Amino acid sequence: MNALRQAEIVCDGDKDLMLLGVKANGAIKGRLLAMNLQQRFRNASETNTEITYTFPLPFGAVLMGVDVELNGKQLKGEVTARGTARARYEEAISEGNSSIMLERNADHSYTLELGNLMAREECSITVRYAQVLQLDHGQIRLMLPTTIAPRYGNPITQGGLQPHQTTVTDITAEYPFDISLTLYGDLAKANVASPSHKTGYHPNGEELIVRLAQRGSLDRDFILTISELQNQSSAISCLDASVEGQTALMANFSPNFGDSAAKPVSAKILVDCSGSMGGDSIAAARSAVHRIVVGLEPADKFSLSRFGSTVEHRSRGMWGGTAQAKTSAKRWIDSVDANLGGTEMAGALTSTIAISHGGQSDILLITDGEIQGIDEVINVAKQSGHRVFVVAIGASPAEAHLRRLAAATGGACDFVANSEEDWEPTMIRMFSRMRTSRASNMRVEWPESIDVKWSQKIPGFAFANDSLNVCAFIQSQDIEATTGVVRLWGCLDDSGSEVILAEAEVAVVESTVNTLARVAAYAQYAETSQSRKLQGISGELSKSQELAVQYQLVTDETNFILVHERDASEKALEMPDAHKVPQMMPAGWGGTGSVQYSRKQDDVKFSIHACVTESSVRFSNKAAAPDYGSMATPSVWRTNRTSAAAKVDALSSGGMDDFQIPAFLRKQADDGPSYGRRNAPDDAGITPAEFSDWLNAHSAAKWPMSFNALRDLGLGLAICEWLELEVGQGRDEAAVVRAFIAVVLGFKYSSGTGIRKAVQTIKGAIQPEKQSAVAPELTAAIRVGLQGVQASRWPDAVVNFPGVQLA
Amino acid sequence: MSNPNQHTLNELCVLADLPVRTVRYYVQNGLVDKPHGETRAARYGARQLEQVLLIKKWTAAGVSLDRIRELLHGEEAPVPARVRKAGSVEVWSHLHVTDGLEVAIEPGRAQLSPEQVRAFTRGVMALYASITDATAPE
Repeated sequence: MNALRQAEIVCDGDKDLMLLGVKANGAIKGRLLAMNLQQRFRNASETNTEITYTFPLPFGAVLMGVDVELNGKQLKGEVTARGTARARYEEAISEGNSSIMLERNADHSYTLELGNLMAREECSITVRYAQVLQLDHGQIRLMLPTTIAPRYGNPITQGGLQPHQTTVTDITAEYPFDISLTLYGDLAKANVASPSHKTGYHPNGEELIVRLAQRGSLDRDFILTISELQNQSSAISCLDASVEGQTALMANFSPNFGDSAAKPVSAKILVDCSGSMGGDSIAAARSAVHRIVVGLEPADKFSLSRFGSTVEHRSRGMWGGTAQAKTSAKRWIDSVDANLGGTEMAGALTSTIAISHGGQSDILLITDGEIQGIDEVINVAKQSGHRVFVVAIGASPAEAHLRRLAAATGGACDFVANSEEDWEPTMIRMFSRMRTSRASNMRVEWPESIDVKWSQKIPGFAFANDSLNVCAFIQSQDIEATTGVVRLWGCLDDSGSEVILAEAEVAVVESTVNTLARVAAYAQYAETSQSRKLQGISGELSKSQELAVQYQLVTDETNFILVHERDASEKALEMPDAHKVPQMMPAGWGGTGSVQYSRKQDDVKFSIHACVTESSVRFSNKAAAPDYGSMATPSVWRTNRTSAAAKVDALSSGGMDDFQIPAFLRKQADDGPSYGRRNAPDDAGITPAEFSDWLNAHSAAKWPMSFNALRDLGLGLAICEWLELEVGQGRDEAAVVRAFIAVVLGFKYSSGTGIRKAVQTIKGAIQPEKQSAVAPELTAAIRVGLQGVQASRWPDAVVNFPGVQLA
Repeated sequence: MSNPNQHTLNELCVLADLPVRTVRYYVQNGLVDKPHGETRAARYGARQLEQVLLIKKWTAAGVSLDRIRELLHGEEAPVPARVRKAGSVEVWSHLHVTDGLEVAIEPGRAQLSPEQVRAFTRGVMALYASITDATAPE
């Protein structure tokens, strides 16, 4: 039904693009990033236009300000209550003036509205933000998202966006992107790399400047990893320029739990196989599951599922981390593809949560997170009591969505770019979080000399070596008096006593732009606003809104607004035309090209005009001729038709026609039972009786000789893997299959009656089956495994292989 | 309410209980008819109110704005492609550009003349050559 659009991609190549490019310029000092993001626009049309641009910022970014330059003139705006800003904006547009507004959306993206930009006018907007970087396991991963990928779901009803805030993606859109970052202090001496872009590193005294080494565009997140850092706690304080006699303080704790014992993992692995995961992403997901499976130990438990529009479980229950289960899991992941359509994540989580696990289990979700209805997913996950650990994949995953999901459930989120070759650290971090104890019931002990006015609530839990930031405002006239040691206390999961997890000496710093105080104020805003939402309190001008206006922070309740009054002769006379800046297609999204190649190549440049000149044409008739020779038939396409053809061959080669069998019986024999290969992982396949019937209806020469042939015959995956991995370890494949057939035939099951039995009798009479020798110990082993078998079903232990029962 | 064209944008929004920005977006995108008069003198009538209310109802039901635009403009649902008769033969030409890149053409259905197919093929080959020449590894 096309009335419900799931994700929109347009191809509108001949339309003029009005975003000229984005340039980022940032500095990292300590754990604080200050970034300037310059976006340049030009009204390429002949009429006054309203440009709307929805763009992402990193999760946790605090918007510090917006600088506007219109036609070379610097303009100043301010942050006010959302309602007031909207009214001023609409008033300016209706009066024919220009206005610029920046708003934070429900999905944590931002929408810039540039109203009444006259024909051919240019405007430059610089968005300034600050971000506290997380130091996890000795590594800082800086991410700058550049584009919003098409998302599954309805952006208005599920995503909570207003119509003008929704995004469209244009496969032909291209915007230049450039970035320059300066690293100070210990960061400049660390191991710095970018898994997303080719970058150049330029030492400058004590600093390190990182720049792009090739032309970039807004089609993939910029990622910079700074590793081999000391897991050190730190704390800084700085006078608050907005409130007299107040000082802001921020502590970055790196909790250390000492040597706590590693616990067995119980993980339900859920892989996103929706269309958007096609190409690079699904390859990365396969790689992730491989590494997860390799890291499992015998005491661990795991299950495997994948989802798209529907959810498919590989196992009925949890498997043990045995060698057999791991081999089976690796095979499964190699066979999965991004072919399950939409992204019904909430339904998939509900179904995965329902897998019986006994005790505490975690969900390990591998996804790009490109959905609109994340709130529903978060609710489902929270209520289940499962922690959700997320491995986020793709050139531009939905960071805010996935971080919120992980944080709300007490899990963690880690990112891997498609082009990233070094997966090991990410997986080691993930497992370390899942295996080791968490700290809970935490509290901060501030130095006694400090009078704390407000301090940030500490999250309910912390993982070892993952940083934990706490902000506070303190009453102090004298900045020098704010020194001392800040301590983080907490209890480990397996012990009741309180211990010191981390401590740091407060260092005094100076700031001209009041960054630290505003970051702290943003944390205070978020806390106040959250508690207001939970308590359902609403008011004209809430306390949180007052705080946001005081510190000039763009939040859910406040917007940046600027009105530029034009001369009477310059005013617009009509409502502006709308231009929504289309998003660039994320690199490799849904299989549209592969980023592996773009890293090996220089810029792609081409001109459509240059292509059609006769001189540059290289074309051979041969190339146009269809070539079917290389088309291999995938095994999943094997149908009954091929086995029917095989049977015709069998009849001629087996010399069946030499015997005078009545015609009606021969026809029956030819049509004997025929079953297709079962591809659903949890399909038990044909029953023992059906298998016996097939064997009886065919000459021994046609009996399967390999595990794969058994599968082609219609036997379930679990049974074949049980034979291969449990019984067949270190034994000859053909011998195992022969022994299995002998055992099953020995049961003398049959689902057929009358004519089929007559055929068997006649066949038996005219062509005695040649029984090949089978090893008695092998048949004995198979018989033991098949204990409890019935004509209509295989025993549970075999059907559930490699289930926990066998672990 | 004697004059049918008497509401300002703000009044229209109050009547429809929708934000000004949303209604303006509908007007800009051709979902709601343009007002009479310029900037502040713009006035909206009963027809526009009706359109806004209809869009509000459909949006709440999860219908996309593109589909709403089609419905408002009285466009028919696209006629589904005729189901090809079993046994009918269709010949597709596969233009093999390079390993892993193929363009499938059925000129009858694409309604292309042999000359056009030839020009298309030339264009595709030339385009491929031009982008790969520019991106050849050093």
